[in-house]
Amino acid sequence: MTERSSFTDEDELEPGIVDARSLSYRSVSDAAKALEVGRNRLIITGLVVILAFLAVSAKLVVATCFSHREEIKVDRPADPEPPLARSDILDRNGQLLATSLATASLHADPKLVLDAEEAASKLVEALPDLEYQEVYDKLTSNKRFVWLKRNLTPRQHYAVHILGLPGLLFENEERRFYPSGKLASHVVGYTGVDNVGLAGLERFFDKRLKGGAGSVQTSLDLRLQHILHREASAAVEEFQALGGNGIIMDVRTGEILAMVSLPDFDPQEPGDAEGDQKFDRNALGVYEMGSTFKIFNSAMVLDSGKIHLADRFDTINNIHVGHFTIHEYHGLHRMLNVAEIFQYSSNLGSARMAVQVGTPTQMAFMAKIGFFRPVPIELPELGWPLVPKPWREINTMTIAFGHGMSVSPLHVAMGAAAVINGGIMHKPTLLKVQPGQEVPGERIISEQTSMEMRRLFRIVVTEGTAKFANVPGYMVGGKTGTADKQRGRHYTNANLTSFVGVFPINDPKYLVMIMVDEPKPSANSHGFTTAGWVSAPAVGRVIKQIGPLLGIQPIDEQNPEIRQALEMDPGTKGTAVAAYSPDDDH
Amino acid sequence: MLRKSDLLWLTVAAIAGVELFHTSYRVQNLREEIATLDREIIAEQSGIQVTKAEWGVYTDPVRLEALAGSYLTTLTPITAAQVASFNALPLKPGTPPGGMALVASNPDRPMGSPASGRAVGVMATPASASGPVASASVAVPAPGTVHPAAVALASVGSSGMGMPAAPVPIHHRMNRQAQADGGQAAVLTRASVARVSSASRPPPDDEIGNLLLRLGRGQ
Repeated sequence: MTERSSFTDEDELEPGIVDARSLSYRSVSDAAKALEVGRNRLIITGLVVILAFLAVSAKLVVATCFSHREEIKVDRPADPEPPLARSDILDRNGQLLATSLATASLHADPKLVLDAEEAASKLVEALPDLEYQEVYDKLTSNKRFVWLKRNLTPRQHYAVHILGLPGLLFENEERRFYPSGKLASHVVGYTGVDNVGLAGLERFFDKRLKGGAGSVQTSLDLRLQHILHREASAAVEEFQALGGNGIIMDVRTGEILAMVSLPDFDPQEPGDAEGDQKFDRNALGVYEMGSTFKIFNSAMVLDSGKIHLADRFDTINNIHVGHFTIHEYHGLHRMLNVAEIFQYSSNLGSARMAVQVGTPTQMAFMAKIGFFRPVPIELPELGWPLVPKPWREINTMTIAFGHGMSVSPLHVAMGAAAVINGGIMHKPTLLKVQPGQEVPGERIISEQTSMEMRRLFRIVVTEGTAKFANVPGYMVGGKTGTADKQRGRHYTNANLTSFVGVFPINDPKYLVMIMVDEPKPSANSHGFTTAGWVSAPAVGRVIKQIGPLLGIQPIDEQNPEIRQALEMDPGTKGTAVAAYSPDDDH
Repeated sequence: MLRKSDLLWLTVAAIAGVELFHTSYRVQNLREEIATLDREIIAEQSGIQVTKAEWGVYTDPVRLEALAGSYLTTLTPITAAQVASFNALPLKPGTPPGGMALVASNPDRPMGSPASGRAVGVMATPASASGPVASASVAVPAPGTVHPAAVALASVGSSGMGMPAAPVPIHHRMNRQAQADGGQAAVLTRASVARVSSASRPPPDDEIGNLLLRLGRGQ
């Protein structure tokens, strides 16, 4: 303090004793001044403190009397959100395809285990699938953390808990569960033990499912999936085939309603799958599809404008190119027009049509319908088509009837849907399209050509190779395909039979495709293993069951309007062969 | 020496202290309560999740089909022949009052055939692909007048997988359908009903059979 300096001249004074003289004589004015300063400071300090207290009080009053209750946040000891991170996968009707369940996983801290021998024997009693020796070794190991068993069921959890063994601990985990088992295993996929999507939709939407963005609603319909699975399995079993696959698709939106690949696996235990069980034949497998390619060949040549339905082609003389010979399997020994070539599935006619239109047109068409790239669908496992390089005239010819180029069955379904639905290509999708939602599409052929293709599809079922696919009331149309399988450089007698069916063909809504790999003759097929005997009846059975489920109005086939819409022009209709049976298919 | 004001302040301080003590205990209790509730919510939620998964297992088409196969032996999956629209019903403009309608499924016949006097399987198709119940609407005969309310005779309801659903009490279905139809009715002649009931195979459901018989007698 500055005042103290005035005392310093009286240096003889003992400290602490105030010299009265200095107050009385010398520093009266100084002292008054000092007091004044002190008081001022005191007042200022007091004011600041009072202000601070007033602020606190004001805040207190506001907080207690005027604030809204919901603004008050209490830090909560636990988060009420369930610890389930991975969202569900649903079918189009909300049925669960995949869900997550909270489970407890058992681990141990060996240092805290008192009696490893007793603990191990009690544990093995409670959890019979554990091995005593293994558990004992783990409990006597030098680690501080060992997993004993992941994802206990509630009952197992209780059984271990009640043992009351020290050193055993539980960790809350979640486990992926697939209520309908292997019904849609290739599409839905599966996850690993740490809940990471490893295949199918689980992998494709892994981020979204983990991110808590809500469940993924797929376009699949579990009911249709079941029917397709049952009928495809029945065909595979009846003909003792290596495998098979099937697709049901909404041709108006590109939605996949069902997709089955056989053999399949249990997504709950993906590790148990053997051989090609996990192989998805629909999207990943690429095959020489055989005659179903004539759908695209016919659409291409008709849409080019250079060839018309009534034009006739030589289907009598074999084609020789280099050392290749293209011949007919069951020649009719006469000229056939475009409609008959499709109806009787003539290789020679198809090859000659393609050559007349030309290789560049064919290549451009194949590119336009997306046959040079994997199918754009929400699956991680997609097969690249095998395309000839260079693309010679012989390739043009063989591709016309489905050999020399391999695509996935999903390619065929996607392309056939576009050919038949009025000519608009929609990307196939596994996500549900909401009613009224606009589906983008790209025109690939004219509406006129699509109408002609509908007629061609219909006569294949009514008078061609696929009579067994017919279902009264549902106006099925389609195309069979029986491809010889290639082993190394040679074609063998083994077949790959497929049938692409569309119904109702006068106003196409749904496409059903079933493919069977290497069928052997069955008791009912009279020794035949062609698509007309193997795949077409299976598709017929599927359509018979799903028609009522999908709410399709049965159609009176005798209705004049319907007949007129689908009747072939008398000039293009084949008359020479009265009795044509499905075994003549190729 | 305590003054009065000191005493007052001491009392206030004491009260505030006690209140604070109380409050902090209350908060502590509430926190415990929240924690308990949160735990219960989580348990409840995982319970719901388990129940949903269980529902998924119980409604698995494979399982339902097996059950339907062993217990619903008299019902068969509906076929195209059992589905028709109201437009396909033969309407007779000159139907006498008291005209009546039929319900019978007759899978042996082509569906929706417009020829009158023939047995026609009549069922309204489900409104949507997922709507499982297929049913038919008929007018109830009332002497002298055509009853305006449409009454439904539900027949084979299709559950998810093309297998018949468990039977629902018939009056329930009637009410439901009558509401859905908004009074729309299809009227047929009594004669055609008589023919139907004799020509067609008896419907699998006894309730329907009894009702048909009653309608046939013109009650």
